[in-house]
Amino acid sequence: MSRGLRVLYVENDEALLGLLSQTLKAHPAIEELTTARNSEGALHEANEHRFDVALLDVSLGPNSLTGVELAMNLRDKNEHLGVVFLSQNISDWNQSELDTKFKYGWSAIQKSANLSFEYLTEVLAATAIGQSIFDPSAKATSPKNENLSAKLTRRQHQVIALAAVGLDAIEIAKRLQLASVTVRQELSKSYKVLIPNPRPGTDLRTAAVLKYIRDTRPEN
Amino acid sequence: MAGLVSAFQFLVISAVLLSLNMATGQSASHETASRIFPLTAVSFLVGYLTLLLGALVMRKWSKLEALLYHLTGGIFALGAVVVRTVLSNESTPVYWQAPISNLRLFLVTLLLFYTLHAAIGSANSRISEEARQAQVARAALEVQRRRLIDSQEKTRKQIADFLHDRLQSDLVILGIQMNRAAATLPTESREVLHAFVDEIERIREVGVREVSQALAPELQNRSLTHAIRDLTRQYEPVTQISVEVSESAEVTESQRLAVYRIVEQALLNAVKHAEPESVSVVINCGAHHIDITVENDGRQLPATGSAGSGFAIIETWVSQFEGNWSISPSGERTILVARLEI
Repeated sequence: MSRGLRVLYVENDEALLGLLSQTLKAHPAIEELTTARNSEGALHEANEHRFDVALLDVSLGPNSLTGVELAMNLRDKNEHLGVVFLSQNISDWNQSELDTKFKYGWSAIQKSANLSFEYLTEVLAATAIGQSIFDPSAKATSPKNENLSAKLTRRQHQVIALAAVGLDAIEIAKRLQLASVTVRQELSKSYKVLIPNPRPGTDLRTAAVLKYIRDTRPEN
Repeated sequence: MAGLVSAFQFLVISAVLLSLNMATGQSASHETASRIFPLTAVSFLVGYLTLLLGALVMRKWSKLEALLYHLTGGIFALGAVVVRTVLSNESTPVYWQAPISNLRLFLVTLLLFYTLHAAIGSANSRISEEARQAQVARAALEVQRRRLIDSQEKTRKQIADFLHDRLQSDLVILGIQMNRAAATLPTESREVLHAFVDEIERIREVGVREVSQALAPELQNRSLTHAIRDLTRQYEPVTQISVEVSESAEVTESQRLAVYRIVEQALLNAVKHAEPESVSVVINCGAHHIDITVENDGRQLPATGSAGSGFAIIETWVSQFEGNWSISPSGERTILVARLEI
């Protein structure tokens, strides 16, 4: 593609709109970024400008069409427009229903703090030329909150419980009258039990402690 | 009605004869009875037939109802006079033989006809007025119920929207900002921060989402099947649930919500009170109605069970769609069936 993308971004949450548009504007693949806070503003912008792709939040608040309805309206104005939906949970979307509605050039992306802007820009570019992408990270969600702490041994319970209140290995060793080597071994065994599939780049100890707190917290 | 008036006439005549006999010093002997019987029986028959005929004619020519009504009254009274004249003999009291007495009998019978009709009519109109008032009250109750359920759903939707839109967005923004801040930190701190972001994401994706779904199910961009599956998933640890949904494109969002709420209550009731091993949910969307069947194999309902709030909620939703519902045992199972008209 010789020139950059012309993107219409519609989002009713002002803070998120500011944050995402700032980042997207800075991306070299994007030539022009226009923003709107609701369907009315978006349709107005669509009359004034021509876009390659629209990035739409799905729930645009009570005074607006939903993202899907807005997309239908934008398509009526410009049948070549790609539409990318940004949603809190696309995992339970009816993909085939949207496929019959939009047929080509529609994508769905999971709103997430870990959303990569590089990926988002790639999806925008692909959708603008008629491709459809369904965010694969959506299928990985809905993790079962299995109580993994039940699988810990009594000793492991003791050490991780003390780690959870903020003690380090040496302090735990002192408290339990164990060698600090033993404590470290027990801790790393506990991490493996609690976080069986760690995400690269996350601190295991923090993740394991958070998981332990969650598992051992009494219901209500 | 006609029978009632004639029976009353029969009683009056018998009473008059008896009192006359007593006045003339005769006891109510067999002789008197043999006179009373044909007189009263024939007058009953004639009176009854007249009134019956009158009612039939009135129904046929309803425009002339008033005229026919009075005419019936006249013929009824005349009938009484004719019957007495025909059955008069030497033992008939002199008092009854004078021509003026026929006029008296005519007037008295006519009066009887009107009086009884007025009495019955006023009772009837009072009853129908009460029935009308009850109907008005019922309709008002139905409207109230609809408003209550609407405002309840509205409030739930507002809270769910707040959680779904505002809180989730806030958490996403927080996560993005933390990730950005983390990028400038040394590896160790960055990884700790990433773990925190993951936890925030988990709270957002699972915690907040589940609560907002429980408050107001997302039915706009979703099929009923998905929504019901989400609903049954939370019961999976306690019981085995099978779901079968045949959807139709014509089912509106509010109808989907009604189905969802009914199934939600049915499941809640079944799991809470019956502790079943398995539950099956079948939803069938037809051209004119939606059928919902929720079956469980748990403890049967107590025969004298008081209706809980769950049943009241089902009743309210069903009545919104002029449907009907019932819950009954079937062999070892308990079946809840609801039908919504669409």
